[in-house]
Amino acid sequence: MTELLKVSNASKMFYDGPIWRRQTTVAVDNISFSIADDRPSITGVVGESGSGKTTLALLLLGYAQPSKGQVVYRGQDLADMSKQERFEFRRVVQPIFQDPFAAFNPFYLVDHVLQVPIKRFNLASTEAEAEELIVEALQLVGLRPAETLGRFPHQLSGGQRQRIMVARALLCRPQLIIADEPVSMVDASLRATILASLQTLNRDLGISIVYITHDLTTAHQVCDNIIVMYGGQVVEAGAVGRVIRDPQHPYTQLLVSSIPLMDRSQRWENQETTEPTEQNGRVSVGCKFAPRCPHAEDRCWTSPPPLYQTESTRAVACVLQDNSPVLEGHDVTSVFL
Amino acid sequence: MNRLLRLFNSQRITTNLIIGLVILAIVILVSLLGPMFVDMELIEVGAVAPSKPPSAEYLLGTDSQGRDMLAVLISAIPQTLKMGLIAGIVGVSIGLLLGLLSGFFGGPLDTVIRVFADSLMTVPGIAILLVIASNIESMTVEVMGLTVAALAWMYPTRTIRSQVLSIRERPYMAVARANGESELEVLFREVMPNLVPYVAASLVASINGAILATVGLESLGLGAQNVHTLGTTIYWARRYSAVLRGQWWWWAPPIIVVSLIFIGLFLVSMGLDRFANPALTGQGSARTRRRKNKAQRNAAQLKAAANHQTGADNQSALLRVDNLQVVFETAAGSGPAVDNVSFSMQPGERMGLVGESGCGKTTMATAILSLVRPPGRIAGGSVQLGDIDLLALRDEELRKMRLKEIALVPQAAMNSLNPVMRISEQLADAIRVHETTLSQPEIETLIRDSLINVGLSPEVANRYPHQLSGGMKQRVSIAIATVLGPQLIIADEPTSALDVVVQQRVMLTLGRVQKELGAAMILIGHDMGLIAQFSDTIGVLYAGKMVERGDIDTVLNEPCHPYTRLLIDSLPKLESESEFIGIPGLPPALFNRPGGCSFHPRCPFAFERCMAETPEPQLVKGRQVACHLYPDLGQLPPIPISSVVVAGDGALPTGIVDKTTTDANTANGNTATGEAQS
Repeated sequence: MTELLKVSNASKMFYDGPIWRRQTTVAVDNISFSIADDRPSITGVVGESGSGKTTLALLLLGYAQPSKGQVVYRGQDLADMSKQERFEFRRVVQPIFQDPFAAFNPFYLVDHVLQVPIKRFNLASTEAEAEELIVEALQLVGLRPAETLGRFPHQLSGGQRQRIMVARALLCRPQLIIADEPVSMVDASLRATILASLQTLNRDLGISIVYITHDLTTAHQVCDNIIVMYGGQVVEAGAVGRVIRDPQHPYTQLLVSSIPLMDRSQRWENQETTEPTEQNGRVSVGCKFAPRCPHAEDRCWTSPPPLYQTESTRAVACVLQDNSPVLEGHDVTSVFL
Repeated sequence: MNRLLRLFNSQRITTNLIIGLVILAIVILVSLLGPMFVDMELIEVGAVAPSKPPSAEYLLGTDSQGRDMLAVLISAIPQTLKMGLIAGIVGVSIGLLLGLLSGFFGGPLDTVIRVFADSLMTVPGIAILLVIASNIESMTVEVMGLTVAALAWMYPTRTIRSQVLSIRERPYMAVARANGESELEVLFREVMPNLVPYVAASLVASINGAILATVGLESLGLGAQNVHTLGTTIYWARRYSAVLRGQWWWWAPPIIVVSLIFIGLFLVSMGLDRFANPALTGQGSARTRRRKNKAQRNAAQLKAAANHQTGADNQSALLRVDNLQVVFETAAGSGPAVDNVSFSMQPGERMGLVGESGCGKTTMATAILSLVRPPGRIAGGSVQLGDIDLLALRDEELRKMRLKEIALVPQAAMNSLNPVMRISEQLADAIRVHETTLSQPEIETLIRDSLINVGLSPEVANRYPHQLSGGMKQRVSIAIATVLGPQLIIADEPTSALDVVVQQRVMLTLGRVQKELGAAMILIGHDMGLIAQFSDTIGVLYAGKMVERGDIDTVLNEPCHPYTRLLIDSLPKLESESEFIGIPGLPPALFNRPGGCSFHPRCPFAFERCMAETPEPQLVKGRQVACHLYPDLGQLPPIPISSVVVAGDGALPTGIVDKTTTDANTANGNTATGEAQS
């Protein structure tokens, strides 16, 4: 397998406070995975706020540099790219952001964000050709150009604005789209439209997608593989159906049991919910989930558990799985479908 | 070129801008064309008979020195304008350049510029100007303008810098970079246009300030000596006691012209604000609306009183809403956000209120609390809690009802807590307003108990909101809302900003507290899953109308209204990897609701009657449904797949294109207005 983008043992630290009392926050803690070049995929990254998923997105986009480890694009470390290579990378790996309103410059018509990439990346030689590209991209994401172009962002709905952002990314002819919570600020009834356009890009145009979200149900719906993060660490990863329908890590189990299901026979109020036994003040240098974990043992607090490969398409970073073999190389891509 | 023209899209041009430009144009034209019609020789001393009031020969009269005032004015205007423009443009250009560099690049450059600008600001400008002006032998308008600019550039620098700091953090900067723009392009194409209103405001303020400052100096006799300006004209008028002698035609015209220039520039700056930010919408006068609101409310009260006598049958209901109508009126149009809604709730009942953004959920909640603000107003109907008619209460009585009888758990707890008050003070404030007889220890006990009750440690009372997590803040809001034991709790998407795990805990707490109090609860949300988890009954709102209302199990098991069905289907299910579908199109904009059933443009089952006639609520299978399919239809058929958006099965049906967007959202910004009201 050739890799389009490879993250190897990447960590990202943020520092706060004066030098003599510096506090270190580990936002991303030793993560390895990759996106295949030859096979389009949708990889989900889920976790709560503060789990490091947005920092991971910034690393993947090259907007931030890892403190340890590296992010490699087609064999080339992002950290030592030339200006020309970086410009090419910018085009090939495209972001979609969470807030579909703030992503538009209010001064311009929505056309602006679609025209700029064509000009900057020299994607069309004539005005007519540029126009054609825009129309084509809008139609691919299910928008009618006549109803979208020539308007200001505030005149369109959140769903339409976000699909224009998908069209914008698409115009750059990317090979990978990093979508950071693309539907969390859109009405539930409009989410399907945006996710449907992302799936079209993946299936029909062969564009890989990293879908970052806190919503397990949509991740389950669109992803092939999933990475569950907690406190900057990978706690569970693998084929999406296995991980979400039969979660093994206590945190994934907690996440899945917190999904508000429409099934009235599974109401939370009728279930035993174990309030997390919050160990006040105790900081874990091992598994970050230990303070909230009902199964935490002493060893969990002292050293981070390795990823155990519990089956061919799943790895779990939990000592409860220590009868399974340790995942070679710590790279969760090896358990992906 | 046509892109440039599109920038001048008609929506950007406002009356303010036009009136301002017209005023300035008139002033400038008078000074430019004046010399063609007026003999400019007449500005010399003794050229005409002195001290004549305005007449047909000398339109503005003459001064005591024998000068024609019209000629003097015409020669003075361009000098004053020139001085103002030099001061304004030079000052603001320096400010724009330094502010941009300082804000965009930051670092040491920023520090140097700020220290320099801030220390200059401590120097009293007017005093320096006085010293300079009185020491320069041959003061000209150019020197005057530059002097003013040198003493005023720090103000625009500061304004621009703070704006750039905020703009450079906006997500569209990242989008521009992803689009391949270089840093300089980002600066000039993305940041600069958004500075237009601030630059315009600074320019206007600088020009005005410069003109006023120099008119002041000149009227003290410290201005340019070789030419007439508006200021020196006032100086001479004062010098020769024009006011005492009643020669108003001498001093009034220059003052009027200065005022006109001021007003013109002010209107232009307001207009430029709108030009640069097309999302701003016209808002009309708040006062007239408030007056109207009151009058309408009186009418609503009369109507409600009449209703009260007829509606005594449903005695057990805690809350009864009858024909509630909330109308929004703005310059862009008017429409009903809540349209003739009636329902009742039993004590202890949990009612889920669902619908997409802009369907009137939040407006309904604010109407029940009588908190509708202009441009919205309650236009009719009644809201009764027990036997109290809420809409008939005076403001003071209403205020006492809130929190004690009806409490709101707001959407964004992080914003609803006062950041500079400890949690204990905020709780104590809420209690004291309603329970004036409680002693301090009693209040403290109450605070302690209420915090423990929502699963927080009593120590939280001593903390400030920023020391709490999002979930803890929302628990504090629940504690405040429930501390006085209300009969009705309205929870408006109480967990929309929280993570799933925290959401579950907070909802369980809210549910427990509500049950213990025996209070009824309205839970507003657009997540059907959450509503299913926590409600006994459900009300589905679409375009301000209650389209389905009934027991939650009944409605979820077999939704009767197509909208309810589509809302349920739009939620992805965990059990199956089958497709989940979206509802094509959007809820109609508030000011442009389609006739008949508002849902017909998006409804897969719509037929002719739906376009012509508004369906009334009717009883179908144990719940209220407002749909023309009934009573003829036995069961809602499956949704035809071609009419919806499907995710999960790969291929996109042709129906994916939004069918209703054009008619639902005309080009005048209605969508945003509609969404903002939800």
